[in-house]
Amino acid sequence: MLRRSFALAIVLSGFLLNPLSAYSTGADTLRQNSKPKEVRNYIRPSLSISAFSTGSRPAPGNVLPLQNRLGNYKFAQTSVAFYTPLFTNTKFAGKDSTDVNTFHLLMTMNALTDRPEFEGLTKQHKLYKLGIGLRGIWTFKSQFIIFADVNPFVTGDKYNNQQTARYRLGSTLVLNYMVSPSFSIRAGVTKNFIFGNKYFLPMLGFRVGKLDGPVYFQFQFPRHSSLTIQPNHKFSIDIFSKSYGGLYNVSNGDSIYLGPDSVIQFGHFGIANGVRLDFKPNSRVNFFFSGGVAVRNHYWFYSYSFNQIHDLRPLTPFHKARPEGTLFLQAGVTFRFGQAKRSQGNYMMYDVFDLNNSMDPGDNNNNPGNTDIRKAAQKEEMKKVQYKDVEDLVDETDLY
Amino acid sequence: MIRETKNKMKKLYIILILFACAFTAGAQNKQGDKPTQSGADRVQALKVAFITKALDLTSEEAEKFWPIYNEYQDKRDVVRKQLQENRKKVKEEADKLSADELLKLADDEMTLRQQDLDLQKEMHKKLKKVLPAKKLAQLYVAEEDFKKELLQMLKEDSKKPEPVNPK
Repeated sequence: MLRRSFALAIVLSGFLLNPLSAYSTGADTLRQNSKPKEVRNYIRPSLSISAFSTGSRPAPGNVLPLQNRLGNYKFAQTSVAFYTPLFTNTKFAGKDSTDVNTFHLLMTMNALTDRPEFEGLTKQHKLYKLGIGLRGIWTFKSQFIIFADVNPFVTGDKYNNQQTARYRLGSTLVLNYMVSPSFSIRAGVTKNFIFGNKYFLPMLGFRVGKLDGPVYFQFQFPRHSSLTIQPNHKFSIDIFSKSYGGLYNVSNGDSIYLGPDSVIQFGHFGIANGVRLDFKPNSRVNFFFSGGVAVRNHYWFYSYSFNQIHDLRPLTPFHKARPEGTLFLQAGVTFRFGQAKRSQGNYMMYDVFDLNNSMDPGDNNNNPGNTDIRKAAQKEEMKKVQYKDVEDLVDETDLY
Repeated sequence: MIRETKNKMKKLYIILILFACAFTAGAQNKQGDKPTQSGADRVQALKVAFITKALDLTSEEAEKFWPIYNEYQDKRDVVRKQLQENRKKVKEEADKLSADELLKLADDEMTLRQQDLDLQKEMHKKLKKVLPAKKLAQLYVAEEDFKKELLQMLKEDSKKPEPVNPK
């Protein structure tokens, strides 16, 4: 059974990566010669898969009997995120009609499993989050970007047959101003659950250094700050500090809460400080590995009924714990499909890519990496050019 | 125990699938005689670097120039691809096509060349508003110089274009 599904997955991956190639080849008479069409989208569909895990460690809490019952704490997460452009509009605007204004409408999807592992519990909770949302990005006046993301999702716990799922809504609105290719600032608001509770937070950030340059630094509250080093277009290294966390519905089937609630809420938060290595073998794939230390870890359990009765926001926990610092590991891969319009040298579009990647679908703060921004070329790269790559550029007059 | 091993195997299969996907994606780029996505990206990146250096664009000029230039290159790509396809058709199927079809292809050649020139003129009109005269004039020289440099590099690598066999 497993072998069969493995084989099926391999075949499906072939369809997914290049659906046309699966039933048509160059010599195939069924292949139709369609008229060349202009590529409409700047942003390519992207699929990201990542896994994150921390070590197990003691988690001192405020309710001693519960702390003793739950025991050591470990956290693992698997995430799949996908986005695809639905509509892209490009038009010349402005006084001299020299501003290339763009609008991008994207659909986002994400599926995530969170596994908080408490050594004291015989049966572990399997938390999940499924979301599908819309994202709009406007660029105008050659320097401004408005980014709006609406992400409704459900969270629940696959603990038993009990219905635990609840709908929630995450959203983000950001204005990005590119002062120059080497400096941009961002400001906005976000409703998210990264801090393990319901918060409306301001978003403030800046970037110094060109996104296609050898080094740049970003500080983007409340998500991350990072120093990115790009020795060449195949590798990049990030020294980063990012927040991770979430708020989930949990079955109270094991009576973590002694009240009447059948479903309670679990929130967790931590700061992951580490190093990330991105490997981009080509413009369609990007692998990354990161590791470091997770500090300032917290987890909370909230009673639904207590918080609802008292209309509390942010939620007040009945148990909170501060797990000790630990090592973490994360690995992932991002695939980008299809073709995109030219964007090289267009620094505002680079900011669009960066913004779109910083806010991953579902807002789980799992950055898929800026594969769509190619490091500025060096002269020595010209040596690797092949004729077929430049054929379009050659006219008969070039040979005189 | 068996369940644990099965879970581990499942994870291993997932990792293998991911690697298979990645390498399939990479291999697809290398197939055929079409320009590879990576190759085309590299040439574009080199062209951007070459023109930026040749024109010595300021930040303000670059902010306006590249979006306009890229937009028109995308539009010209469509025309040039159609030209290439038509030429390929003539080259490979000249004996099979009727006189009317061949005449249509010859007419299309002129129409497409005119379309390409119209796009260049449109772009030129817009670029006049964002670049000083000297840089605008230098742009067309830089484009030619870039092609020459690429051709020179290909010549040095002995990777010359395939000989043209007129049928």
